[in-house]
Amino acid sequence: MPRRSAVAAARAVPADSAAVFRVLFGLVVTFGALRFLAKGWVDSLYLDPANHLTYPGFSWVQPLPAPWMHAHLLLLAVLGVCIAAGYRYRLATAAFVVGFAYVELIDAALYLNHYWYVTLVAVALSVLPLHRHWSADARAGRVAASSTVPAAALWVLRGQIAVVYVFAGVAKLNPDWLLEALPLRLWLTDNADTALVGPLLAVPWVAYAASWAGAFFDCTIVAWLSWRRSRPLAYVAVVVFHIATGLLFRIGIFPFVMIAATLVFFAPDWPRRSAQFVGISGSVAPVPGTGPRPAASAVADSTGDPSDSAYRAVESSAAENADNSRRWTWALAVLVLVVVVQLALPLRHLAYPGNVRWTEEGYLLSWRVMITEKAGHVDFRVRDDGGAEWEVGPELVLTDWQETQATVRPDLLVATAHLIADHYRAAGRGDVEVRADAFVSFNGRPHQRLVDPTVDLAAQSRGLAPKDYLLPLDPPVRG
Amino acid sequence: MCASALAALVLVATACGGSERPSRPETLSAIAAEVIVPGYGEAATEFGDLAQAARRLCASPDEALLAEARQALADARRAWKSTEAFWVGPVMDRRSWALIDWPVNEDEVRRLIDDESGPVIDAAYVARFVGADQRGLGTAELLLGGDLESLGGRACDYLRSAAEVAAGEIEEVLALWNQSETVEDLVEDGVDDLVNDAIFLTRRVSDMELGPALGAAGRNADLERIVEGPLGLGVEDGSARLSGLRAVFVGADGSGGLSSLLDDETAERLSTGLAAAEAAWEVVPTPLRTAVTAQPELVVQARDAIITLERVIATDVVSQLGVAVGFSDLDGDSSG
Repeated sequence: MPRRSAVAAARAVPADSAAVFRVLFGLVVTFGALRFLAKGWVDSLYLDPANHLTYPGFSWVQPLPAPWMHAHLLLLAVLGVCIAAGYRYRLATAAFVVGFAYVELIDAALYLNHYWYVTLVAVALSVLPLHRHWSADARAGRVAASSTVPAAALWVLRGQIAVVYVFAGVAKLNPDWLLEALPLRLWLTDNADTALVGPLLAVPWVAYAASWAGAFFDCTIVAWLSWRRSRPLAYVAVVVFHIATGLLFRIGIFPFVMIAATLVFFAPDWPRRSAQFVGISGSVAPVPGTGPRPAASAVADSTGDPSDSAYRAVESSAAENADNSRRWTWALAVLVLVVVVQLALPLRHLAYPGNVRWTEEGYLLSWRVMITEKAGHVDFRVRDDGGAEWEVGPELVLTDWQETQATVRPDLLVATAHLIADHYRAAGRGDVEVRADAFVSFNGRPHQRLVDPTVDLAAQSRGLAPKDYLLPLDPPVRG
Repeated sequence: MCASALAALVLVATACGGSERPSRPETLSAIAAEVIVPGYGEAATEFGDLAQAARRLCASPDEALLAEARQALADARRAWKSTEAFWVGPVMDRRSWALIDWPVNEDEVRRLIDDESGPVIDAAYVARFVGADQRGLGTAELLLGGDLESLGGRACDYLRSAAEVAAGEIEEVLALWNQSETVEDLVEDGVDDLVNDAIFLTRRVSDMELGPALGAAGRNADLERIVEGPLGLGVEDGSARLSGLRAVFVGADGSGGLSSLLDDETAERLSTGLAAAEAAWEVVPTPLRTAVTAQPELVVQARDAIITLERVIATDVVSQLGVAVGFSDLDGDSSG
């Protein structure tokens, strides 16, 4: 069985779609980095804040001073271009992974699911051989040109997308989303003045329909994209869905990322076919070993659809790769490990008590995309060792955008308490205790306390252990 | 063809289950027409009356006219403070809030008055050459807070000029609110602005003024954080601010405002919070600075009620209305 899987993973398929994926990924991340610079976010998000809400264990990751932080974002944009062009690809992808992860690690209040996706894809690209086709490296002879890639490369790219959609869909299978149309009901009403469709968005049943449709879309779209017959319509649905959400909600480059990425579900030679369809086939050389009617020994691709010519193996390459099956067995083992981690991360919340959307224990890195509306308010009470007690707001150590996140995310509340304690320690007030009157409204419900107001948050660690200072959602909400 | 079909679909869909509640544009238009424009209209009238009263007082100073001018100042200040709950649009763009209501720099005001060889103090001079901390309501109150003798010559010129410049500024704001573009801007994106302004207002009262004055912000109480002039209008300021918040959230007649966009339960919590804050504030004796030291328990009670109101707005109302708190335009997909 492992050997058969290894042979299947090693099987060569046309590299066209993988190369297009590389190009689009590079262009999208370049656009993202330039957009960051153009909007002045390097200053407002990284340089202006006096403090950053770092991730546990990563407090050593701090922003570079100006203008180096700007230069860093510019470098990421350049690396994106290098990835797109396939220029010094290995170096570019590795540098991009490190550089992008660095930016993402600076402030936990800036966590976004699509940046996590970009990070994972960048890691995948750094090990996948996507630079042998339609690349500057191949053209310059730095790597041997190849018009095929192992089928496993497409498995990885498709699998990563599947993880995003499926877990985002599963996360929507909760009573709030399905039975109360929350939080979509709140958000759609917010867009009721949108031209033409605005009045529709304020109609209650539309929110229910959109909630169910969204859950159905996320849970099943990978299957529809994988089935050849439904693929074109499914891709249209992807485009419509992401454009609609992009217009209604402020989600940045996420729609572009997913619209570009899901093209990888098409047949591996779709770019060549598309070129032929629009009459520019002459400019694109055919893949050796592939033709109008492939060899009879061609095997089914990962979709199990043997009639899909584009998915058929390149015979000679398959035979050659089969000889390397031992190496591929190891590669598969690594792939399995990656899959296990990718499944474990979104499910780790099951190890914690309470509703993950309220406690946020196990919330990050789990593809819970836009499923909760929270608004918070917090005041801190500080007590020094002389018994003096006073109040401070989070604005003492945070900017407004950090505060918005810190008031609803318990771990960031603790991080803020640590910053407040550091502030007073630096001011010569010694070790202080910091308690919080933190209130959060969850999906439109009346606000309630998030943390125990008697607990000194400055003394709490930010580890992975369950946080006993968290107060449960009352009444409980499942899912 | 497609557009027609979509329009038909929208009509059918809205007919088959449309919400009873008014839309955001309707609500914001009503707030503009029934709260904001009348609010600045009243302020403009009161500021005009203050300028008139100052002119009369300077023309023939006597105790009766001084008392009349002080009352005109109190009325103008109350009208102005009630607009604080809707400091959005022109008043922010023009920085009118600073030009009309910046804490006064008494030393600089006295220096200008005492400088007999200095420039003639008239409205043009104040408007062009005098800083925000030497004009507006604070300066007028400082001058009216003294006795009649102190209001001779340049002092009265200064009073009259400060009142006229402030009246001119509020007229400008009102004129802009009477332009359809200003109302359209509010209708387009006003919910976030109004809710953020309300949060900032309650926070200013609780955390920046009363908190430090009560010693809640550190070891020493800081009474200077309460902006209250010699006429001791701090309590009236608070009442006016709350009445402004009430107008924005429940409407001029108590049946509209932003509450009409909320579900009944949240609207009720907001209404309860407003009523509790008003009731707690009502029993605070005047002047406010004296109350803070003489009867701090009443001020603490009022502050707690305002914090509770702030909490309802910053959590329940923000959540219901999908308001982006603060002014960040970050992308977001993790949570509210």
